[in-house]
Amino acid sequence: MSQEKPKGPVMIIGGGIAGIQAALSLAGTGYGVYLVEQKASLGGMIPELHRLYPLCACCKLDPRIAACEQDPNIQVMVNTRVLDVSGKVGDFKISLETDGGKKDVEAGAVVLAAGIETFDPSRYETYEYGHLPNVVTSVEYEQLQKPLGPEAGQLKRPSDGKAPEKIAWLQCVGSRDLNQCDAPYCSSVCCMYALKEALNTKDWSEDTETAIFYMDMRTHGKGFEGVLNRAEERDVRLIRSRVHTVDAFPGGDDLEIKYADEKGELQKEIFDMVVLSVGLRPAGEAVELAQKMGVDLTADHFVHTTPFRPVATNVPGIFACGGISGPHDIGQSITQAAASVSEIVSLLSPAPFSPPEAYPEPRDITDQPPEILFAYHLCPAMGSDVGANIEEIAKTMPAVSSVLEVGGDVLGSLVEKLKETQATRVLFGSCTPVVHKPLMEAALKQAGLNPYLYETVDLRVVDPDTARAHLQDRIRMAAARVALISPPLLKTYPVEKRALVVGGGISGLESALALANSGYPVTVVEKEKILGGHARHVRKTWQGYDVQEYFKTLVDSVNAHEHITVMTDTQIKRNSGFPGNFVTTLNWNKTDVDLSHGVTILAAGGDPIKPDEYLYGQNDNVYLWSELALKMAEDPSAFKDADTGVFIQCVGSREPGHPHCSNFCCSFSVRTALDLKERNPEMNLYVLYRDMRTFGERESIYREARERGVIFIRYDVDNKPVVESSKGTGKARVVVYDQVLQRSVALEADFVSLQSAIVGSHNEALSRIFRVNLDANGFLAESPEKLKPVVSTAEGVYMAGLAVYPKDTEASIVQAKAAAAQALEILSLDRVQVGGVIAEVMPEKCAVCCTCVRTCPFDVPFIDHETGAAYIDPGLCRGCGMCVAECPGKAIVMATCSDEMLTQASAVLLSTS
Amino acid sequence: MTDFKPQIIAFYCSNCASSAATIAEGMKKSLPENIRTVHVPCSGRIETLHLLKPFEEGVDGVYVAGCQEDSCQYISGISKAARRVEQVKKILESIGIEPERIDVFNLSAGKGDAFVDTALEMTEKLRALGPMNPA
Amino acid sequence: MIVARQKPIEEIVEMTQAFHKLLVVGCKGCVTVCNVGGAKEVAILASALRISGKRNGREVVVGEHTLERQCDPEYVDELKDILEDYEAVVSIACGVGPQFIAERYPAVRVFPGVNTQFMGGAEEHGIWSERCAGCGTCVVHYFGGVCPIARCSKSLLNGPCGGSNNGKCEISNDVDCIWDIIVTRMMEQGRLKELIEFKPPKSWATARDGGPRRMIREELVE
Repeated sequence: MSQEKPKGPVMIIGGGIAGIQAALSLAGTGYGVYLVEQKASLGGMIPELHRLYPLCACCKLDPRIAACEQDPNIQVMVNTRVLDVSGKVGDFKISLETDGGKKDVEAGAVVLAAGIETFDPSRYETYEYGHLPNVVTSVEYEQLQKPLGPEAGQLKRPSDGKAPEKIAWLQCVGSRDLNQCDAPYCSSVCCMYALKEALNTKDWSEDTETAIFYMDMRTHGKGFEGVLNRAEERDVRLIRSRVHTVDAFPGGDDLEIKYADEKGELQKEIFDMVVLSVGLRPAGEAVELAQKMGVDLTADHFVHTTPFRPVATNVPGIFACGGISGPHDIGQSITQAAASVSEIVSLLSPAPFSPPEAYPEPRDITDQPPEILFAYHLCPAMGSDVGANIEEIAKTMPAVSSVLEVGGDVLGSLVEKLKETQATRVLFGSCTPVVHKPLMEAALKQAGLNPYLYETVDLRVVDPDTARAHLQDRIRMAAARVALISPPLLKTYPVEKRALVVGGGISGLESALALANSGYPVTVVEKEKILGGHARHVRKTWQGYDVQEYFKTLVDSVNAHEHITVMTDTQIKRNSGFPGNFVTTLNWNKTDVDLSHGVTILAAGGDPIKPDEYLYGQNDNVYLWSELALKMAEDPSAFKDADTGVFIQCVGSREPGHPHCSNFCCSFSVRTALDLKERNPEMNLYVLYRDMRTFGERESIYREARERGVIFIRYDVDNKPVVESSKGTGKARVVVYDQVLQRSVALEADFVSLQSAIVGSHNEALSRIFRVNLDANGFLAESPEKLKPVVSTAEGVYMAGLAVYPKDTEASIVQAKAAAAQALEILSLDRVQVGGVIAEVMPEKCAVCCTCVRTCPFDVPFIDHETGAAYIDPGLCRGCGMCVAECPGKAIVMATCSDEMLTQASAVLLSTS
Repeated sequence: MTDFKPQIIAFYCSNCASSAATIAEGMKKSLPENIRTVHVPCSGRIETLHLLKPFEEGVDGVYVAGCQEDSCQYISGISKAARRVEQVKKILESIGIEPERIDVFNLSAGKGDAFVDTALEMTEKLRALGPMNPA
Repeated sequence: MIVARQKPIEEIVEMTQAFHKLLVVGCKGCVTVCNVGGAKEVAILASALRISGKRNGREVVVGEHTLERQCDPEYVDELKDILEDYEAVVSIACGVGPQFIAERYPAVRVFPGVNTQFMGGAEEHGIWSERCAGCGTCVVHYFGGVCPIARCSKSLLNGPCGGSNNGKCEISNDVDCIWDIIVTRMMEQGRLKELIEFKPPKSWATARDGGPRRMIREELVE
């Protein structure tokens, strides 16, 4: 541990969401970062998409791009290609071609975050893509739907501009197909986006008929099954089928789909438009680059990683995240990006481009009348008269003491002008003001003022006739508001540089190890007497790697680590405080101990439910999946002599009670079946399923299992298999209706494995103690700020593993490392600031009526019995203002959006001047 | 009556309104002159009183534009705002004023030009109702 | 707390229409806590009255003030100077408030802005229910901590009537049969047999039936 880490900046190749996330997270932890993007702008694929699901998050991309561009520790290089990478960890040399010129940079580590593209379906002759105009790819369809697309959000089919009344989606175009497209894997995201596109279509026009032609509906992610259910409720037709051809229907531009239904019968149907749900593949150039860097690839040309170090390539110091490492969705890509940050932190010391800012103490302006500096920034796209208009309008406002047009070094010129004029407020006009907020706060801080004494004005105007009136209204409003802001109370506290990790399973231990390797002390709390959680009965990953062996090494490293304290047999009683400064009361050995820590990682795990069907607990040959795995792990010859084994999927999952999909059960059954075949190739194995969800590269083991004779029988949820005890033999007799044969089949099984729903183990108690929300399925909910998959609804509280959603070992490790990386952004600070855009209680006005306590969506306010008033912790308040609005005694105020501002708004706007 | 241009105050949640404004700009659409906007951090910050004040000042209509129900960054902001708009409708009705003079809209990139369309819709509705106060 | 409900605004407009200068007075006590008569509601009502006046072409000046409590004369005294500018008061405290104001300022017209409902508590934000009828002789300890006087439609002391139906009262399916709750509670406490004991008819002399009530605490009176 004491050996010196090399030091250096980090090179991130690829400016999509994964690269952006990695850059922000690294810069937030103190690293200098090069962010290289081949295209002219950051953002990757997201700008091409229309709404993200399950939560729309379009509005969250631009602020992140702006944050990358404004961070002095991130050097964004667009229009730049990486020609070569050489060297080793701590000392990489990267040659770049940027705007025609060549440039070499040095970096200590490299993140490959580039390189996903969609499949080009022209090579499928049967779909007539490229020949028939109304056959489009899913990406083209999203463009048609986009409000900024060619049709301004009014869906029209390409051939004749008619609003389509009947649209079909064809799944698995360029996926799960070895013969025609060399992509045997499942692209994992297409089922969800097809459902999303169909629902968006319904939003646009409820009467449009939508049909999705698919093989297996794979909605295996968090919240995804809910989207599937919603689609069905809104009459999106789901047609399980194999599509034969798409042809022009004679006499018009309509299309005829010929397909074989599940019974194998040929059907025909006419549609206005056909959308091809194209799969994902690694981009050719990125693959070439990876090869040049000596990075191993899989047979599918993705970057090869092992499940126990999921974002590390075979080359030390080179990490891969996002599409280049497999077909991943946005959430997974972000999580992987964060995980690669945690890997880098444990092997490289930061070399920032710019030292952390030191700010002067804000000066007291209490008795000064507001003097406003009005700064504005014009874009080339704005009309030429905007500047003149602004100057003229500003003259009419007495509170505006100086006006300044900024460009180039906005921050520098603002600070200088503020110091020169001694103005006490800033009014900033620009396009898209939301992305300039961090800049304003920095300028005010540097000028020795409270960072919240500013307002922004949106200068975007379109119609020249109304431009002046609009500008005048907005400027007047913003000037009135900024004058009314009183400097909100700000305090800073030292950060308690310790992490609390709740749960001693794989996720908890991986998080702990990642943080400890970055140099921070960690306390791991486990309720049971021994570490392990669910890991104790996981035998192998889907690829066949031995989990027990890995887990033993993990536990040994944790126990041996100087920075990790493990507390088993320990209960959590209470938690209080705010990010950077939490106190948790633990009960250990019958005594209460208070632990101070800066961040919390919740990784309390999950359990399979105990079914009350299929003779579980009544017939000894019926196992819960965890029991089957444990038995196989303990006894290498278990089930060796069995003649027949049956796996039943979705036991208690995807049904009322536990409507979610448990994600990894399909892969578990396929893996286990393959291993049983290894023990006894003659064994008859059956998997009874509803949809086979061997998503991503897991498809390969599904194919292998079929090749090796495992039989897959689909059952319908309304006609579930029946298990009965065979008389005499005691075997479990399973009767299932085979949809293809259209008759019932009876299987005399020596053992039956029930893959039952996974639910969070202690989530309800933890949600109360740590004030985090749960989702509809009882899992820890993701931050409503969106695109933050490992951040809980409470700041400073991160989450990983089965408590978040069912997932396999590899995904748990990725999440655990990602949670650690996010936690580092707080731990690496010396002090945290609290206050600002928050609500504050004036105790003398408080009637202690509990309205705020009941209103806050984040459960922040409480009644402080010592002061006899409600208290809102400035470290926890999110600043939505709901309690301010609801307080019946007007005892809660918000300095940055006060009652005065809102009640006077109309008077200000309507006053004639 | 045809030249009546209703004065409208619109409260916008700064989260979704900003991206909606970007889209509107991209579509070369702009809010009509008779709409004056007030920004709030979350539509849940808006109080009944804030919605009544514009009527006191003599405007002809008020509306709140917030996020989709399922996409509020603060979970329940827009639904709280919707309930307050309901309360104001009742108050207006009880003093003999058309409740249609106030409304709430869920902005969504999915519905394209909603940012500007809501403004036009509101304007049309108010033109039909006529001015709030006698001249 | 005392729970009240706002009077329909049209009624307030109607009863105050002869006056052009109104002062809306709130109370920081119970009515603030039940979200009907605090500073926030004062501002809302005042605004509504102004809008109404404007709409009808009437010049109305509406002032706003919220007292610590309207049921203590010292606080009501605060209005002395303020009232000089107004012709009438709308009190949105419970029924006590307008009377205290009227007693202190006999020349001023006082109007009630709320209808006082009951003594009760908040079940959750926005839902209140009755708990106490102020009968003057508390008996809740006999009934598992539940008051049948306030919460049984018939104030029965000896078990439910024939109108108890699946836990609901015959007057409405929205009203719980409190005897159903009392019996369940007593079972949980293992005290069911105590309910068999006959409760003699209640003396209502301590309640409203004994006439208007007044209370003197000798040790407190100067």
